Amino acid sequence: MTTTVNTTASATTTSTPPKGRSLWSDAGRRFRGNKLAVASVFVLAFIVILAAIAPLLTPWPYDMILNNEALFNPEYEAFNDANFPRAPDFVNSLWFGSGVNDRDLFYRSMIGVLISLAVGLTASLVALLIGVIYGSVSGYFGGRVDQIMMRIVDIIYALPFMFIVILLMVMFGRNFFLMFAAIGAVEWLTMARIVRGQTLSLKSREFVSAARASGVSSFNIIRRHIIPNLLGPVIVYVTLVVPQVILVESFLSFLGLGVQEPMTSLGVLISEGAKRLEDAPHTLLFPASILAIILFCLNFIGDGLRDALDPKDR
Amino acid sequence: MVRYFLSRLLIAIPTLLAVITLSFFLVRAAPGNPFDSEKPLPPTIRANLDAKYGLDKPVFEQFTNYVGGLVKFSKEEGSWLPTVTLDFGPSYQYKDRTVTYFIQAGFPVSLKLGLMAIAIALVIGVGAGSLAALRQNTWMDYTVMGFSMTGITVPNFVVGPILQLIVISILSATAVQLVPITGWGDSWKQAIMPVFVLALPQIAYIARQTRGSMIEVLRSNYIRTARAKGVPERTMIIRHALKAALLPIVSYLGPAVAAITTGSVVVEKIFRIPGIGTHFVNGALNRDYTMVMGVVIFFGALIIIANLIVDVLYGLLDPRVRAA
Repeated sequence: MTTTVNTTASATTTSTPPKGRSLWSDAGRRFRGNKLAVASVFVLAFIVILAAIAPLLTPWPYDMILNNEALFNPEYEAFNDANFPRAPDFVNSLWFGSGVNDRDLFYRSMIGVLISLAVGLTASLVALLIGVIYGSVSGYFGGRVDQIMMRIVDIIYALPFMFIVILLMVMFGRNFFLMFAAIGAVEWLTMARIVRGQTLSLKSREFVSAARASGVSSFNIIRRHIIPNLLGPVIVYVTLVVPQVILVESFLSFLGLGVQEPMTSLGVLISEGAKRLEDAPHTLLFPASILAIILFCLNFIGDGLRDALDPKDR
Repeated sequence: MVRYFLSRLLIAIPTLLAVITLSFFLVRAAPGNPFDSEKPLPPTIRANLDAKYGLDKPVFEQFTNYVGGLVKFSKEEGSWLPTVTLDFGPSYQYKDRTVTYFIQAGFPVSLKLGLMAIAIALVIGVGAGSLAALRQNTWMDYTVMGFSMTGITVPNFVVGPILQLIVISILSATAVQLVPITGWGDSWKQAIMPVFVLALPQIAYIARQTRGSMIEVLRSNYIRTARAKGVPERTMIIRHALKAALLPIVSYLGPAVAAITTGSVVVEKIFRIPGIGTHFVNGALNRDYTMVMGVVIFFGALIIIANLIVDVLYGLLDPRVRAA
């Protein structure tokens, strides 16, 4: 298996150095050459770290309604003022001000970041798992099995997905895990198609014939020989799925069908902020720009990885 | 051609049936009764309600009734054409209204919004994309590609409110209202913002797609032949290059219809437009099961039919597809 990875790598580099370079070190070098992608990695890492240590940066609990608290607790007297959303206020460590419900907007935006990324990664992994298994089985067995399996994909592909997901959310409540599953179930289709295509070209290669000739079972050929060799394009596709999933999650939350109070997500915050944009534009601007920055970063990283791992596409 | 059309139809019909079946049984599988409120209803009232909405029958019979009721043909006296009515059943939340009523009220608005968005996306997207391809690697190309990256990345529920915010800021700074920021139907200016926001991601995709295929076409042999022959640049671009470069755009129209339908839900909410999307979101938030189910099936059918039309159109335009 390792040898095949090496042959593909040396085939793609123009000058073959005396010491064999692996596909991954080549890809890493190309990726580092892409300034936009590298900068995106740093910006994204900064946001994630900020979100992870958010509880240390703000004294206010994420679900505390400042104005309510001030009525009963003399410690919070500074907030005894019904005039909210509050503008950003560095004296009281309200970095982003307070949101529509008078809760600390900084903390809530950071929770939104974590939730978006968690949904994005989990659902992408679900899509990865289903897509790779389905696609490799369909491609490897070929023939009638392949035809039936791909026809099923065609039919599911034509379903109006966003609406089915909304229907699911309405029927079974705004369940977090259901959301993961529903979004993951939407995104595996393209993955299955990509994997199938790769498998079709892989299965006629010599090392697969060799494995088959030496009596390896179909299951083991798929697991040991096919799947490891199609990871390149699959990883590229996964990085492009993550921002799509984040979009779906914030779309649902924006409509009020996603994450529920007192939890929050960027979509919820944007939808709340949009209602108050006339008198408190910061409630819209902070979550909206954070979401936009995250999506930009993920897209640039995905493009960078695609160029790095799939040089013929450039 | 007939075979190609039939094979497309062979995918469209099971898909439509899958949408109907899936939505119906999802709704029936939902926990609880649609009429449950804080207080449990007395059994007799509940039995009456169930009987009124046909919920007392076996699930399979309910399903056949629903499907049978979806499309009704009735023939009026004196007319030779049967009238087709769509019946999505009563709304669970608005006791005196049917789902069909809401769809009928909202569809003209949503349709107008969607058609305008697609038209604008095609005109601007193809124009900007070809311009970028013809001036490849100039500032014009980079500007178009930068805008299209933004349009693809930033979702319309971010773009919409931000644009509203900009209009409001200009209003408070200079007392000039550029365009109305909400509403529908009072003045044509109200359509400007929602149509633009709805079209933006599609403009971006189409521009990117056109640029890509245009660059490819411009490198091909027959364009070189045309140039060598002395065909004027303008004629060459419009008659030879654009014609071939637009093929992928035609096939993108199917997904574009789906994206615009989905986007209209958000845009109608942002700009307070009384289309189907608004009723759909309200229905979803109020757990109006039949309403959500009706709109899902309606939109689903719309998207599937649009896909079918696009496929057939593509088959007519590109003989290579039919052969495959």
